[in-house]
Amino acid sequence: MSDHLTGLRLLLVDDEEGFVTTLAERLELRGLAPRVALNGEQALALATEEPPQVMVLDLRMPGMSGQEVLRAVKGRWPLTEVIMLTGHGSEQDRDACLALGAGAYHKKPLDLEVLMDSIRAAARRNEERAGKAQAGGR
Amino acid sequence: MREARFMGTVTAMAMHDMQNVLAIVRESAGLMGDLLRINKDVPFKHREALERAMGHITHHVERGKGILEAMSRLAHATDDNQSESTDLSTCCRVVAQLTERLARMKKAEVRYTGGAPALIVEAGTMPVMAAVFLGLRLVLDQPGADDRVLELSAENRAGRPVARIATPDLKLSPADLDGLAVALAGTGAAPQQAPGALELLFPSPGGKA
Repeated sequence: MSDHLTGLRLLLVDDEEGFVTTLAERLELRGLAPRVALNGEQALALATEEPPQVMVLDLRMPGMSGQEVLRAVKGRWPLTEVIMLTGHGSEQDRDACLALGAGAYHKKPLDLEVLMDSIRAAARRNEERAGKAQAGGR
Repeated sequence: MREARFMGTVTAMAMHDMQNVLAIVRESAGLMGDLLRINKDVPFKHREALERAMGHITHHVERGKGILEAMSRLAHATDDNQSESTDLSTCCRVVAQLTERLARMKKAEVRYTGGAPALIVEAGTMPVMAAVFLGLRLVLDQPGADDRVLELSAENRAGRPVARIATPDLKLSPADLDGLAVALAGTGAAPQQAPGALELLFPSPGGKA
């Protein structure tokens, strides 16, 4: 597994339980250890316990929407990289999410290797930004 | 128009939900594939059949995804009708995707062979899609060889957007063209026969036909 993925704190957020648990199992088989949240509120609670480096986030969920979660995450944990993964996206949704700071926007269903590449790129960006933040704080 | 928007909104929601269904099917098949690979040294009599079945699932999930994206674009066309212009290339691509089954029933195949980028037509998305569909259906209804291919493209002809449906030996009667012209009323499109093709001429940007 690539260095960027070793020990990565990854959070998957999706209200489709059958989808998100199966996705988590497949990522575990590839050496990742994702945590799973089934709604936005749960995601923020898990992020408060331990901020994720990368979050894979659904757009339409009961309760908080993906955009609301994205805004909250970027406000509280700006280093967290967010990948939107949705079956509901329009071009306007995509533009809005990217403007709010999402690093990538994918539509379901998605080839797992494409998602893996996206997670890898997000982990690399997170490392770089964390490194810069650390250097700036010295 | 209120009914059309209702239909569009409800259809778009259902299409989006179907994307979730396909995603679960795909991930579940993917997980089975992962497990087979991990246990590749464990003897399993039906391994080949299972791998073949999972290949079918992946292939048809991709096919379903394409159809759903086109359906979603069609459903959102009712939103676009607030606007008085649309992209002819996108309309042709969506209609080609959605007429796959109709073409198969006629022992034919519709191939979208490309379009000029941002080929703007001064008409709403729904009427333009309807016009392209009516043209395709007329050509599909003509007698022709089995397995014939209809090539659908969108062209910029001296500033005028044109949807072209080409198939060898196409000959439409004047009555066919007159009937199509009547059916196209309100869509902004004007049909004409070209050698081996039906062409739909749309109003150019600026409103000049």
